[in-house]
Amino acid sequence: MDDISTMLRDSAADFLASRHDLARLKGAIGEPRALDRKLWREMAELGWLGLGLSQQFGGDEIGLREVTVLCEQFGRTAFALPYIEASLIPALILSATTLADLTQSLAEKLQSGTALLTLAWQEQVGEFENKLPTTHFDGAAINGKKLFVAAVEADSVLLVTARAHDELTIVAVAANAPGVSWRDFAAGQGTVSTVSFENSPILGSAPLLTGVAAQHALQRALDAGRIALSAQLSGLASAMLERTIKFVNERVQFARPIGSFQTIRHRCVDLYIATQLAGATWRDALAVFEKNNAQEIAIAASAAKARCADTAQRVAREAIQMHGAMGFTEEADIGLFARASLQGYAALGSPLQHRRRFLQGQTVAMQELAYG
Amino acid sequence: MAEKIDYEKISDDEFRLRFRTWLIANFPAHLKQNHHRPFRRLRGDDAVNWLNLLDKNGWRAPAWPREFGGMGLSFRKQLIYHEELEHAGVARVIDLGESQLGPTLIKCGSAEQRAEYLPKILSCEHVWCQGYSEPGAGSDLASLRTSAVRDRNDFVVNGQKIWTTQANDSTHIFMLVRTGQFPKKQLGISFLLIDLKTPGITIRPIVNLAGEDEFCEVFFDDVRVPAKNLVGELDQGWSVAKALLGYERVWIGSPVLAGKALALANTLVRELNLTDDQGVMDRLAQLSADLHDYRLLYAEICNGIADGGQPGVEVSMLKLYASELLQGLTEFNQEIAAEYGGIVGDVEIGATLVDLHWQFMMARPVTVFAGANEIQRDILAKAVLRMAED
Repeated sequence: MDDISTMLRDSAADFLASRHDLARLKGAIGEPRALDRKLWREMAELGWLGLGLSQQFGGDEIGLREVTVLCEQFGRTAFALPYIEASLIPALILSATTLADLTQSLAEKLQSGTALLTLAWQEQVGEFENKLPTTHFDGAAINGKKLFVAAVEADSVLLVTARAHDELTIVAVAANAPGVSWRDFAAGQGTVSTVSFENSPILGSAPLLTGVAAQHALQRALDAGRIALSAQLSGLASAMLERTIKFVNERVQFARPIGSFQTIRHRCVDLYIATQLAGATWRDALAVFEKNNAQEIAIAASAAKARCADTAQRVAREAIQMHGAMGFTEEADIGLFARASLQGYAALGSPLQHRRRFLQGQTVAMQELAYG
Repeated sequence: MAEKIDYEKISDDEFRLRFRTWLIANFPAHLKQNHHRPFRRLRGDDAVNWLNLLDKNGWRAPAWPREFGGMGLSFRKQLIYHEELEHAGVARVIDLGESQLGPTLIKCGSAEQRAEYLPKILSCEHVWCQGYSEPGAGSDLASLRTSAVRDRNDFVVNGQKIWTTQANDSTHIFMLVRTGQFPKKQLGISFLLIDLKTPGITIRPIVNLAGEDEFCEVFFDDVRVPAKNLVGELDQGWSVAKALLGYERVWIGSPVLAGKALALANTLVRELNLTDDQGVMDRLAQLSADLHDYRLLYAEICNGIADGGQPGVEVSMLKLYASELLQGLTEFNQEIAAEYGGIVGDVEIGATLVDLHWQFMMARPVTVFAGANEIQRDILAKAVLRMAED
């Protein structure tokens, strides 16, 4: 790990230990939560918001590597704020745009945490970014509906994918613009919204991105999001396993720690191997991302997202079981981790879909493996 | 013999290219691994001829120091060496003299033992097998009872070994024998070298489920072994045998065999026209991802060692995962082949000659040998996860 990463990891661990309280996540099950803006501004002060912004927007070449360091720590502590959706992904979309008054001011809002930025792209459940949206941009306003959008609040700016002249465009729309309405759902530890646009005017006079540039930016931002989310899920899985091993080592039944029973030990070993595989996949995907080949990034990001999501879910289920009846209570922390993994499991594509995308991408490579 | 090249003085890429070129030109095509024999191993003359060819050209014993006739490769170049063998489809050779006994003698043997045995291992004048397991000592290896009693300048050995791979192809056996009784049963075990022509030794091959006679029972009836054939200290053979365990566990966790099984899976899916069957393709995607991800973990751990680390006890997970993945792949191959999966022996599926029974059966023992996976899980729970003991 390089110096910047080590520094970030330590500062994240300090911040999370002092400012993040699992108890605040308990109760009010099923009620959408507002984003904790005080915490969000503190993250801005630490310089975490907007990591990934290019230099022209005041970024400092700190990229996905550092973001994954943070996200792994967020996962390890079941931290609840939508950092990937409302910082990393918008930062990468903005970085692909040309510098203008609008984009400059959006970047400043992002970095300072004074307003929320979020990408609204998905229109169907289980969708990937390979087809044109039905949301339509007519040159001035948009019409359509987007699903599973994070960080939608009154002062949010949405970066919305839309169709214009059978091309992909990405436009900026203020959440408080005319015709914008949304419905919130509690998701994992946070909130996602279904957002509708009826003749909603865009910010500025033109789309932020159009055509091939928009496609590239979208895929790059979403794959980066998948890699960061993989690191977060991997952190969740490792933390759940560590907590479970601690629990079974302390919990005594039949006059011995239940962690001394072979059936518990072997299950923990299998989960340990799963977490090791998960770590290897996102670290590889990160290295591939830094080499900048979109096709290879897609394969590696899909492998990582499938593995890390499956692992987090598997560890979550087994951790609840090994915690016994206690594991079923809202009082025990393990359930908070499990809830976080539920959302991360499917967000940005489920393991099943990602394995299909991986296999498709790998077909060429596998043919090369055949006997010569 | 050609002048020995110091491969540590050339770049990794250059080394890879040279070995690749040499393998393409020199490994006999009819002995390559293929879909019919994806895990092919060479035996008898085929094995000896190949090892001799490697030796004559300076490609034998990659891990041995140059002063003992090996290539003296760094761990990183050893990785490349193994990758190129895989890439070229070179059949495996169970060469325990090179992979196990040689390094053991280099580490724990006497100068006389090294001078006596190492050159003959390289020349294949001696072919070694390993006598560890016994009928009453499998996973619980330290319970072994084959005894060696000192009688003047000899040990007199009595007892039985079993699952001794290729004893019937070997000239010598290195083995663990009981020389003393101590409260801790790992003590009192000694490491002994025995010529299989010594009177009193009987070898009986056992036919396995794949139809091969690779492993054997070896019986010892008052076998006299010179005392100088003891390796290391008396009663300390357990430590001698364990000295190499770390690197062994790295190599045994290689994803190579699983890669061959996946290549067969891809061919079968195509030949059986299953590419539109989403159920089959989802299983294939899972297995492909499993292997892809495992290769990443394996590479990460190997690179850590190549960068100067030591294989820790966590490398037990490599053998564990790789062996179960290999089994999963061979099961997939047998299952998707439907009725073909019940054929015992050769059958052509489309244009491909396969033997699905053989690949399925050859993958059965991998979760048992070299420390059953249940034992590996015990080790990991204790030494890596530090879980509570009863």
